Amino acid sequence: MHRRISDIRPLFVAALLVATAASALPGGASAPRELTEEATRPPALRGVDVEEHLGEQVPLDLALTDEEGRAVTLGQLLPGNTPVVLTLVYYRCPMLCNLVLNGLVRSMRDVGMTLGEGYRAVTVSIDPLDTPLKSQQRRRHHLQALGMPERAPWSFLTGPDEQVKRLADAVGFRYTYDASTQQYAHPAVAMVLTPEGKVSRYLYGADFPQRDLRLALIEAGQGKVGTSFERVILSCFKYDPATKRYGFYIFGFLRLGALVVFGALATLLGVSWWREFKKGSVA
Amino acid sequence: MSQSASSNPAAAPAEGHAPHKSYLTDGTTVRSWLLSVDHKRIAIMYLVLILLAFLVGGIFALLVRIEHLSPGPTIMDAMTYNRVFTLHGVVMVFLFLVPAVPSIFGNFLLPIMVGAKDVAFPRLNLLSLYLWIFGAGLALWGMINGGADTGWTFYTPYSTTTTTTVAPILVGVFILGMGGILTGLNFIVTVHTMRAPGITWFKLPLFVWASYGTAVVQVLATPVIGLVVLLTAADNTFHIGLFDPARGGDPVLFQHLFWFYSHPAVYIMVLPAFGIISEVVSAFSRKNIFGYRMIAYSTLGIAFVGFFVWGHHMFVSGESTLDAGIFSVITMLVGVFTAIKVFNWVGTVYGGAVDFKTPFAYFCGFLFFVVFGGMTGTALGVVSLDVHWHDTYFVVAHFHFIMVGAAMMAFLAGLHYWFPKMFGRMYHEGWGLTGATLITLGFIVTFVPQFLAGNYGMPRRYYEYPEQYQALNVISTLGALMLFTGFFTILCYLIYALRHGKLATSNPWDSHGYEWRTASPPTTHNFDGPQPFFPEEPHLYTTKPAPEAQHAV
Repeated sequence: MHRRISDIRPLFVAALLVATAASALPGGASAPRELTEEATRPPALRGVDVEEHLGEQVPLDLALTDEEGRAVTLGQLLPGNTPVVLTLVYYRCPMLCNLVLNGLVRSMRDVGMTLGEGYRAVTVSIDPLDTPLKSQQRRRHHLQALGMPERAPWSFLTGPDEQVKRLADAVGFRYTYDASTQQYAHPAVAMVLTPEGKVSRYLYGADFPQRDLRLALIEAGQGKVGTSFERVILSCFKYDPATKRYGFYIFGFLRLGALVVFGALATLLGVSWWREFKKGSVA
Repeated sequence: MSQSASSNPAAAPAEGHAPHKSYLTDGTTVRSWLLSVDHKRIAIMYLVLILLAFLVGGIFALLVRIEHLSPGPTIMDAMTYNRVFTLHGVVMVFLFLVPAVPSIFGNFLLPIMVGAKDVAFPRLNLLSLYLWIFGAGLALWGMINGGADTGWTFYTPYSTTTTTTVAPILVGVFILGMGGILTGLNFIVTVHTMRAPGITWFKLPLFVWASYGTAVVQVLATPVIGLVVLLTAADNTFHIGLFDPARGGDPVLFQHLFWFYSHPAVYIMVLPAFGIISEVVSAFSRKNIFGYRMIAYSTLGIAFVGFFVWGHHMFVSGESTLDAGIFSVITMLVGVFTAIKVFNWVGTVYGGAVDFKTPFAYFCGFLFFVVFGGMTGTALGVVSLDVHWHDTYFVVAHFHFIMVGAAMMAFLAGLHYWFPKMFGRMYHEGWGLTGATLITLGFIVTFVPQFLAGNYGMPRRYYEYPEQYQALNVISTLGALMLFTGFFTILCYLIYALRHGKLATSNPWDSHGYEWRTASPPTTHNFDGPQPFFPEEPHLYTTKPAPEAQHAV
């Protein structure tokens, strides 16, 4: 599924936050997005976009460098039993990356699942000039903010340009380098991968409601994380591509309600008729 | 409950009890009525309240008819007209037709017919009465304070955006639904667990079968309307956008959900009515019911099939041809099951020794209306015809034939048949037949012209109409006045009979129904002594009845 959405300009993060709040309800604010069509954007932001590659496998053989300076492949970091939150940032980014990561950290604190048990996190730098040392600093900073020990499984990776490009292409993350400001222009998004490394959900913005993150993790976990009750809840909330949120899903709600009512009545009638047949009073 | 102990033990019978009092005189304080858990007293309270609701709905109907005396404005403005026909629909459907037969006759007779002393959950029964009162009060309050102009169907997106006060009415409907679910559950459990020894499933009176089928439909379908009215009320109040396309909602989803309840609701109204007719026709033909099992099975058949026909209300809502065809065919099946019943009733009358009393007169009217209404319903179920008739007076006339013609006639038949059972007095038979004649003729004069007007293209729900329809509308209004006279006559002689009617014997119709094997009016616990034992099948007339039933000890 390839779905184009427009970028959120770094300078309009404040506006985005307002829009996020307004779009919390299904059918909320989808209009502003229409205004930022590709052609109306400043040249620096052309080619900055997310093309949703839902269900696409990320390349597991990518050769990257972790925060300790060790060479790792992406496949080694995917443990195969928990979903993974993937973010693409760069470390000297003046604003948006921090907003995204801080927003993610806030949401991870409240999500009700422990990093390392319910899910893992991977952050990859899109800037080939970033070094493992900077990875290390970043990692410390965010793990402290999260209140997690150093050994928590949140990898910060750097790597050569063509390796990172392969990853970005696989997940549909499109960014450009603006030579005049020496900054990267890139979308604000976190991706949730299935344990096998397939793209499951995109979470947009710099502020991730913990419900959205939790539902995305449960959905990506394919029954391996979260409680069974939450999988029931998940059928009442559905990812709404128009608002890019998990919205109240009336069909799921109805289906559940119908099952409950029908099940209750069927049980009542089943037990009653079973007794009648046992008594032999149906003649 | 007050005590029935006698002050003079020596005069009491051998068991040490005074003769049992009738349920009407066992406790005379207001409290003994309002807090009674006796199914008969609850039924009588329902009777009074539901008849009051019927009066309100009837007055609204009369106002609509008077407004249509002339093509332009007659007695009210357009907005008032919208409110009046909405209130007529809401009151008649939710306050009268849906609860009438189950809550009044079901409550009164079902336990007696299965030989029990009460329903399975008497307190729940009282709760459902108060839920009715609360829901009806809320809905009526909403109607007086602003009213609604959406029609009783509350179609979205209009009902989510209208400035009239639909929300309290919707919440009222929700609460009424809860009461209905409780009544239904009560009946299901009562029939399963409280039957007297010897009453197997195929020895149940057909009214019990009908009430059981209705109860199942009610428990299964009512949650859907409960949910949809709550969501609509929330949409209307908080503008969530579930059904409003301007906010990303889906109005057609509302129609699906609404009719998924509201079509089975038609069977909630007519199935118990069919049950009454099965009792009446057998009792007044002095003959065994013809095809007992077929009538019982067709009740279940209608209850089942009724859940799969809702789409025939939506032929013009963008339904695919295939879906429309499927719904159309299943709709025909309802006609098949109904026809099975009709033929069985006619077969019962055939060769019977008909005792042409008031209930039988209503049966005759019922038979004509149910066939006429059923046939036009089958015609409306054909997609190509429905496109022509959709939202015209043809539809109005059709569903009034079923909901008034069938359900109302059966209700009146039951009211007259069981009046001596409930109150221990007889109404005047001559007045009874006069009332039945007025009602039957008044009904024909009211609704046959509406079929014609609808077929000529007169749309429903419109405030004004082209002059060419005036003659038909005037005839229809005259018929409505005749109906009103008929109802007023019935009200007068029944109220008179309550005090001054001849005292009834315990079985004035010489009926063989189980409910007549106890006193009229029954004592508080329905049967004195141990639980009764009914060795015969119900509706057994033609073979010589077995000798007097022995009490099982």
